[in-house]
Amino acid sequence: MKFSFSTINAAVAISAGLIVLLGYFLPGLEFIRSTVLGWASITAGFALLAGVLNLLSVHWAKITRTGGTAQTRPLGVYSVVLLSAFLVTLIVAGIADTNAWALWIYKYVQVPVETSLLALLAVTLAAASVQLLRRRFDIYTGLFMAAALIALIASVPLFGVGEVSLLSQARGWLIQVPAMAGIRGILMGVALGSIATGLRILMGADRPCGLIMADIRCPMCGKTNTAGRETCRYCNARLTPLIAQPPAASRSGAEDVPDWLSSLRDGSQQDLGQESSFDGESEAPDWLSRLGGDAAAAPAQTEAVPDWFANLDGADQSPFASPVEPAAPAQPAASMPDAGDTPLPDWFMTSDSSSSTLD
Amino acid sequence: MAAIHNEQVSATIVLGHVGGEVGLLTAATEQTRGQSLGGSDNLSGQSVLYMADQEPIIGEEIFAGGAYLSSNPSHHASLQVQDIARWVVIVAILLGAVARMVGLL
Repeated sequence: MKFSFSTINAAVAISAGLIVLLGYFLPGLEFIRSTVLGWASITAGFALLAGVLNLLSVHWAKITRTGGTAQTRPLGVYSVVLLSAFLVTLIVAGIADTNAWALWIYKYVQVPVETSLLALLAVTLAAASVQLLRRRFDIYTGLFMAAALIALIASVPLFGVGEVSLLSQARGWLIQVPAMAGIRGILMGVALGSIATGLRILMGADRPCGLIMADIRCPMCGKTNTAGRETCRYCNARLTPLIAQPPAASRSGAEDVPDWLSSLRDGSQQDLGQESSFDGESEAPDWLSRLGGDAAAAPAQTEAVPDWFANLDGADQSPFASPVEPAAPAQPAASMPDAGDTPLPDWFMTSDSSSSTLD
Repeated sequence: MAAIHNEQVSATIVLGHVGGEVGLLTAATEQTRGQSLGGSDNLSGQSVLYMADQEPIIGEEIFAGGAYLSSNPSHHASLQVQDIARWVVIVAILLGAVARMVGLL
């Protein structure tokens, strides 16, 4: 059996999760549970450190990035501000003996920035509420907007009126009864979803850290294959297409053509569709239907060939002869010997004219 | 937000434990006429996303992304278990309320 790093990672995650989960119910596993949780704290600390280093590297790359146009080049000023604030905070919090400087940064930098952000958010939400009425005008939107307006208006005394007791009671009822019920319902769903996701991870159905994105699911049997495989290891179905995908420019070319060209292409495709949908019986022109009917009736009529015609040398060179035989030039019926005044049958005249039509 | 404007982002997907500040992202997406889809397990984030997002994801729908994107039977079974568990909890709450009302609890 072949093991990979992803399998080992999943086994470690499942084992740790099961130990922690069972540690809450089984007294004997309490020490192991606390130990595993301590390891998880250390791992989380290193994950945080890796995230900080990645953040610094990304913004350092934005600052030092050259080339490209002014529109495609990222705004490095924000990265400079972020790196500067990070360094100052790190120095103040790590080197200074007292936390007075850190409190000063929190009070005079972070709180005003967050307040400004919330003020900007209030304006944004006011615009979004108008767009919501335009986008989804239904009963739920009406209830949402009505509850929000009542809660906002009743939160502060009205200008020139003061506090309206009816609005205050309505706001209290909204918050305590329907809003609280909705909050509990949503939180209950979130809790159930969290439990289900945790159980899927514990059972190995889901693997975090993007490992599942690297796998390829077989379109035939649905089982998971490792990335890079061309065929499924379970059913041997092909996982990668045989024909290379066209470049993006050619794929999106249909969207870039002007209207007159797209309409012209549609018209030509409709014409081709009409030609390709030839039925042979219902949509054939008259001359082709007549020819098809003659050809279909020909084998039955060959049995009714008179003896004089069967003895002729050119009888086997009729249009109904075997296609293997090389066709000799047909002789005119009028120049046939012994033809005399014997009338030619109608089917022969028809077939003769049909062959000339085909020629 | 600057990246949404400068790099011509056509769709913004926000999933996770995000707060009300996500409204700034959805507003930037709206200004660039892009599509926005978002869900949060944070209540203030959900209320903002419901109002500002074009395709809001409410409640436990944020955990149904796997079932939306793949045909893995475990994801569909997980959703069905969530539905069953939700009804079990609802019935338990109602029974508890009724029992409390009649004086059994």
